[in-house]
Amino acid sequence: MKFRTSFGFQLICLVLIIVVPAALVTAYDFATSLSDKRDSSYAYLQSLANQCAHDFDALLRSTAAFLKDVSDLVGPLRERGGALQPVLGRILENHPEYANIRILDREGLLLASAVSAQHPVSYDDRVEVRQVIASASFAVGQPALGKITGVMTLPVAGPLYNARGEILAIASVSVKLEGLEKIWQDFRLPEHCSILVVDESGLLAAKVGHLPLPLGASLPGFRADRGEEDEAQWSPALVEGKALTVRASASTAPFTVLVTLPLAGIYKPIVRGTALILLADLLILAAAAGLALYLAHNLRGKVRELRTAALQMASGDLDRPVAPGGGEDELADLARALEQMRSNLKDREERLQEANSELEAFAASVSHDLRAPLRAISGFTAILLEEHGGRLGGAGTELLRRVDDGARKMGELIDGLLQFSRVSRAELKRQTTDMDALLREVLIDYRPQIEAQGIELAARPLGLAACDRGALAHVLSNLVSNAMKYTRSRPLPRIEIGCEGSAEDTVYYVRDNGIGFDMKYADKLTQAFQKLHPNYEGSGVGLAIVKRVVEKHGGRLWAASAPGQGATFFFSLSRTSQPTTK
Amino acid sequence: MLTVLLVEDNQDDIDLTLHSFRRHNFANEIKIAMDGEEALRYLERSKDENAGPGLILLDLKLPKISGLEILETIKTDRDLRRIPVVVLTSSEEAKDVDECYRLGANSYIVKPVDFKRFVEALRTLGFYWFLLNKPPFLGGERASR
Repeated sequence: MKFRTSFGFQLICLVLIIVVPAALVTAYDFATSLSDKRDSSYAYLQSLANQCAHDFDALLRSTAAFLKDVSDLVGPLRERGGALQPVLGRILENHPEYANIRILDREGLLLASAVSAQHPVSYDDRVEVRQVIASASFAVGQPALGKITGVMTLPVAGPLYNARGEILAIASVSVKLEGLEKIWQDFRLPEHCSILVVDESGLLAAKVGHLPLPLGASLPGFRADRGEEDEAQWSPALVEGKALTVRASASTAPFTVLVTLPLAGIYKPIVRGTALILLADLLILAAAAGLALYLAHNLRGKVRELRTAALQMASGDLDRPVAPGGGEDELADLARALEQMRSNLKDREERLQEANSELEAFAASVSHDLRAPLRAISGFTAILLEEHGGRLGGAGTELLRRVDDGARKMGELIDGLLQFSRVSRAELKRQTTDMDALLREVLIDYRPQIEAQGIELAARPLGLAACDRGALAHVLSNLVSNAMKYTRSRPLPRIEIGCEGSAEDTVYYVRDNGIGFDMKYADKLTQAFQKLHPNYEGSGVGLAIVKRVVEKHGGRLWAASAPGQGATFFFSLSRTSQPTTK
Repeated sequence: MLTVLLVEDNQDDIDLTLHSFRRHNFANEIKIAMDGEEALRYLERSKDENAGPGLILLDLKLPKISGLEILETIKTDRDLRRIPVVVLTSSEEAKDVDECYRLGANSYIVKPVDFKRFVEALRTLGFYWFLLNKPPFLGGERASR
């Protein structure tokens, strides 16, 4: 059985047809899920960044408002020349979100500080201070890390006006950015998500999340003017693998909020889910393929059984029942149907055999019954001839002789019929037979006649055969007797007996140089009571019996001849049936 | 001289048999039974009278009780079983031959159809069974008991 046509292959194909599209759907779903997740994550991160930027702005705006309050409070005091430091200290106590409050003169020189300074310091080099001096407006400086405190602060400065609206001094506060960090830490951020606040030079002013970059350090590769389209491509080289990074710019100062999330973190649940599905697919595939192979094996076994049973039936063995094989499937139905067929065939065969044997018994019985009246005819004719022959005269005697002759011929016919019937009914007893010895035995009976007729006899080696010895003796005897009969009129009668073997069978032949016959009547030869040469004795049943015996052995009988050219009778015996000695 | 019981239903065969014996000058008394019933009745009676036949010629195909049944009855009877039974029939069937010998027949002869051979067969039979063969001492043995 070729693999491609086997049940197993077909079932596996079926399984693949189901599983492969499922796997493709899973893959497509995986791809779209990744894309969807990326989009939704991007949107989420963007809103987060916007929120953070908004928080940053809010802090700076509240600082601006605070500076205004300080201005309102400290301005008059400064005009009056009162002590500023205690006031500033008190204010700072109420505003822990600031690290320090300083009041500078219009040149940037420190006038007072909430946290006391050791010596006068000039702040005129500070960006925010210079800006305030230049523009008399609110200004944000560069973030700085406290050398002692380690706290990142953002200096914010604004002008201090007197009642006439003249700039009296400059107020400067250091805003602690850790306040923002604390707020953002309370956000329920996704795992590995980081929020960074950087100024335009890329200096890290605030951060939430685990980043290996300290505050105050410069964010490598950061550019404030990075375009919208390549934002997504750029990630701070701080997280492993690719990351999704969005930014939002603060409106109050040139600061940028970056929110970054590693793609691995985003995709992890999807990858895990898809991997699980694919694993399940694979397991199903393996299980289904295994089941398919098992079913195919099972099916093949059952089919093989059925095939054996069918072949057995085909070979004529109807005695072994077909096992139903259990189950209620179609194969079991088939097995039952086969069994039904077998039993029907067997019934029919038995009925046929019965009918045949009845017919043969009938033939035998009729033949016996016919014998008695024949005997009476023959007997009383003979008695009549013997005891009253003198009174009948020549013509009467001749007539009675004809009656007797008729009775004798009818007797021969009946004997032939009986013989035929007997041979037909007899069971074959196959055994290994030495055909040469058998021929010698058969020829013993004919020796005197062979010598008397001057027949030249050539017997070639015949070897062994698996056959019924008695039946084959009959066959040889009949063919030899026929050959002798039809060579009787020949001046140099000759009979040759031999065989020719092939792989399947052995063909035996009996050849004579007798009167022969026309081949167009060859089929009549073996019909019972058909005679091609009516002037020769015999009932015409001999060859019919030979044919029956040969056919019962599974062989064939045929002849080759032409009128006046002699005749050759062939019969074959198969070699395939093993010699048995039952 | 040996008395013979011929069990035969066919009058032609009876006549031909008797004719054959006569031709060869066998003068033995031949009792005829034309069916099985008659044959068994005769044998029962002969048992009582101590004058049984010394040989039974038995056809197989008989009306009422078949030859095989008669054979079985004879050969299972303590007294009759000693009487030799020669089956004289048209049947050449191996089945019949085997069955007869199984039941204890002493001989089995097929009646030839050809009259010459029939006469010859009966001559041989008569010579052997009437003259050559030593029959059992039926009456004497019974008397000695």
